[in-house]
Amino acid sequence: MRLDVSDLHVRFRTRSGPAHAVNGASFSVDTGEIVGLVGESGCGKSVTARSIVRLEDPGEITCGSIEFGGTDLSAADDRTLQRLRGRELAMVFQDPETTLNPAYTVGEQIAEAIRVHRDPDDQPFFRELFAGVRSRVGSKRTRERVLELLREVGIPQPKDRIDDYPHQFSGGMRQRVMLAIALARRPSLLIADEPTTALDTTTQAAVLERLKTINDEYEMGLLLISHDLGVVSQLCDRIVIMYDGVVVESGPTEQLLSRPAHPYTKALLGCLPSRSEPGETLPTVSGSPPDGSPPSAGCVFVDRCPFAREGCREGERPASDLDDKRTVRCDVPEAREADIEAMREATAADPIDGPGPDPGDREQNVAVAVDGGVQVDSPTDTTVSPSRSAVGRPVLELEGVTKTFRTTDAVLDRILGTDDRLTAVDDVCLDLRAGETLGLVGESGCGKSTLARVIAGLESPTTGTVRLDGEPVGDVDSRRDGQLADVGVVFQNPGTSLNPKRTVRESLAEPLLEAGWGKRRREERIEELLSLVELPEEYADRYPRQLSGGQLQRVAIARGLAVEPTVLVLDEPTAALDVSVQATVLNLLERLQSQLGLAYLFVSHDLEVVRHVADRVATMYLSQLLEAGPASQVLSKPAHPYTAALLEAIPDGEPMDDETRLAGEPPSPTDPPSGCAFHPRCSMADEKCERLEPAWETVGDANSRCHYANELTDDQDEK
Amino acid sequence: MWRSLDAVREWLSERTRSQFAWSLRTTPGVRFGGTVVCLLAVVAVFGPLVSPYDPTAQVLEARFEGPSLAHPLGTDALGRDVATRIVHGARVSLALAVAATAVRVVIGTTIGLLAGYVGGLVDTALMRLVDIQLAFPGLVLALVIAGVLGPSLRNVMIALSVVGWASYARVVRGNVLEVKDRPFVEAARLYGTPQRRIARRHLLPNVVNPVVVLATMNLGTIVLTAAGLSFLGLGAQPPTPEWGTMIAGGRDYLRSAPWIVTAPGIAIMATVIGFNVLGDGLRDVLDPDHLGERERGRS
Repeated sequence: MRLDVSDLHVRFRTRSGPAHAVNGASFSVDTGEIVGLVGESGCGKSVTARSIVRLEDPGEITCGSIEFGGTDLSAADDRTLQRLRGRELAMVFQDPETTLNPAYTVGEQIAEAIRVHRDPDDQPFFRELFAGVRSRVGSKRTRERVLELLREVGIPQPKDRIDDYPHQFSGGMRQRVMLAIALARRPSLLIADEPTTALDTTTQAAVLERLKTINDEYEMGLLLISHDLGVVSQLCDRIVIMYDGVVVESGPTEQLLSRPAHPYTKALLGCLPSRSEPGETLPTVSGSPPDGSPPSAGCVFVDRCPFAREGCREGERPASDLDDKRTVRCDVPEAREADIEAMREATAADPIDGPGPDPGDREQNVAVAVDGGVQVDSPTDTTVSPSRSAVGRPVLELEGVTKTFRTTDAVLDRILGTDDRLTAVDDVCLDLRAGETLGLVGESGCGKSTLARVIAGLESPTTGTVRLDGEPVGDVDSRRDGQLADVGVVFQNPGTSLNPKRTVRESLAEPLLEAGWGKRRREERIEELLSLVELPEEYADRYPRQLSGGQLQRVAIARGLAVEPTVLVLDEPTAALDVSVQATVLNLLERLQSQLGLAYLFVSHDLEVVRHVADRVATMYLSQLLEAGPASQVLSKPAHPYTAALLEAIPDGEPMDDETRLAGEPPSPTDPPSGCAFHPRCSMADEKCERLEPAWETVGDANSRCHYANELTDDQDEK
Repeated sequence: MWRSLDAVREWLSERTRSQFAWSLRTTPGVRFGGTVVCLLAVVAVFGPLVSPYDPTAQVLEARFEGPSLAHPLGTDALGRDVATRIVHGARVSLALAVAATAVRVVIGTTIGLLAGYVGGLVDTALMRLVDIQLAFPGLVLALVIAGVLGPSLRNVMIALSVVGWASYARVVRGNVLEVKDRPFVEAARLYGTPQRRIARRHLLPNVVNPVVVLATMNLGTIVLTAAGLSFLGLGAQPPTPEWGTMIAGGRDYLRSAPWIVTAPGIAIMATVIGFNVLGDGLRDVLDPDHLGERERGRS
């Protein structure tokens, strides 16, 4: 069945007046087609999706129609909707943590969907009261069907898992259960709202592939909503780009990505780190994102568009067809013709976004900021920033750092010494030099955040030493003032890393106050910090809730830099941000590093970002470092199959290579496998890997923990 | 002098124009409850200054007079003006409620903050104390205290202060546990902020909202409990104008002179409802978990 959304308007009534979430979105999804709906947060893509299944409440559809198989959903009554939701329309939500009911087994929840599919009209309330008492998976026929569905979505040993509760599943597995619930209805259209955003790259790759096969088998339409162009390009036949509640461009994936027509599409593509050379300044979208105010006349993107002309502000901007498959909502020929490069230049020539770094100024700053005696390349070549050639004594050294946690808190166990311990970080040796960026990558739960916390001093290592400037340090309570000042930390979520009850000024003043700075000096430093992170001075008196995500992260960075640290620990600093905002934050970090000669420890699960910023990369798996070395080598010629698998899992539109694909899920850290920690998921593993733990060997400029590291790199050389 | 007044005026107008003030003004619960509570407060503070009668003066020739222009709410068995006694009683009841609530909030918040932030054995010990307090029926404890120390308004206040702080401790501890693992608290540790300053600067401001709501609702219940104790003869002693005592004094004449009981009854009811509705409204504004329907759509 075909879905046709035309001129959809949705708005919310809020205390401060109506917020316009969708302002005339039009697109369609054909039978069996995969369509990607892409846009940044707040562009109205999720509201659009929810409106299609009519879950838009408390918003209201004020205008437009949603035709699905001949029925107008926007005017359908409850009974029709119930029937459609039971049989034709299914939806998968973003967060697998909260979308499954924790009180019922997964089998039960899938069986419910099956029952609804059989008879959507017959759902007596009183039967629901018995749901926990009389299991729905009791009948053999239903049980068979549930098992079949579990198998179909790729859950191993479905017979053992069918009676498990949601908390016994990992995030990726839970998302598969959600998928099974959706498929139980044999829908003709599946709407997936950011189905892989909360998952690791490797798990994401597996879920995406599953979606693809299911789409092929079922002849089911798929509307995939995502902020990630990589994900969308991997899977979709067509892409629809939304901005401020309006579809600005749509067309076949290949054409849209290779020859984007709308300036916004170009801007979005331009800020992807994977499209730039490592270390290069990323192009950004100037201006501020839309805020849900009523749509003004003219083009929605006009305030941020480098090609904007006088005419763009007036009159209706209708969508026009480029050819029979593509539409674009822009009628400025130069803008449509321009390629991404030209777009970048146009943006660069028109800097609205705060004071840009001045190259001459930068050079001077580096000379001043970096410790005496350290030679820094002059930044004449813009693709290689001065930080790329850091030398000298390491500012941070880790030697055999191990961190274990007790899994039980029982006093008796503690006394007897029989308490189980979970190893979060196992024997990690790393060092970090001034002006250098070390990228630490790995799947969630691998211990990378714990390692960052040990370095910051929020945890003390169980064994091993952390050295700052050659001196061993413990946790924050035992560090001296100078040592505290040496390490700054920026956390993942800017929304929670600032105290909501304190103004920006108060938040920035606090580290200075603790370090014993006088009032006058504090005020001056706060001014200086705000200009360092390119925020206007008047933001000092705002509260965190009055700032956007990107601005908050700037404040958090400013706070991290307040007492002039030499090392900045960045724990997924851009994971919670939109791509365009991510680009500005990465640029800022890059500039700060060259200005102040900082050393960065950049923790991330996003290899594209790490490739862009890092001089050296370390991969971590199940509490161990598996590989560490120069970014150029590790990310192009990995000497460990795990790194190779991580690289393979990046969604880039290419089909996955079976040989390097990661099978299964990371094993539990309470019960690590024998021998090489990675062997159960490794395509190269043999009997030796099961028995023997590989040593930390040197391969070229890098280190790797694999028996076959040399073979692996030799293979790649041949290719 | 004028300059500082201007600064105050600016500050005030800024405050009243803020989003928060705006949502306060437009929440129906806050409007209604706030009006009732403000009226009560005005009556309690200024009423006794303007009322023409002495609340305790007995005029035996004017006993059991029904409502009239001279005595809008009539007179009681000893010829005292009921309206005057209500007005004076408001002062007694509200002062007692505010004082007892203040003591409860201070004790409860301190214990909750300590238990939540220090954790470990301190937490266990303090929370067991809270359990004991919760298991103990408050009214019985008040009876015991009144029995030991003798019945008086002051002793009612003591009794009501030492019970009832447990719920504050619970609420504060729960919120502290949630807030103390937030990155901004860890960030404060990172630049060496001492623990008590973390507790004061970062934890306390982020846990006070539910305390404000709870305290508002508590004011109403304390007025009710105090009246109850006084009715039983354990609280304010005659001739103190107190609502509970007034009801106790008037219950024998329920048939012949219903106004003696009705007026303080209505006063108690209005107070309790006012505080409760205000508390509900404040929760809608302050507590993000209980957002009003209209607000929810924005997230």
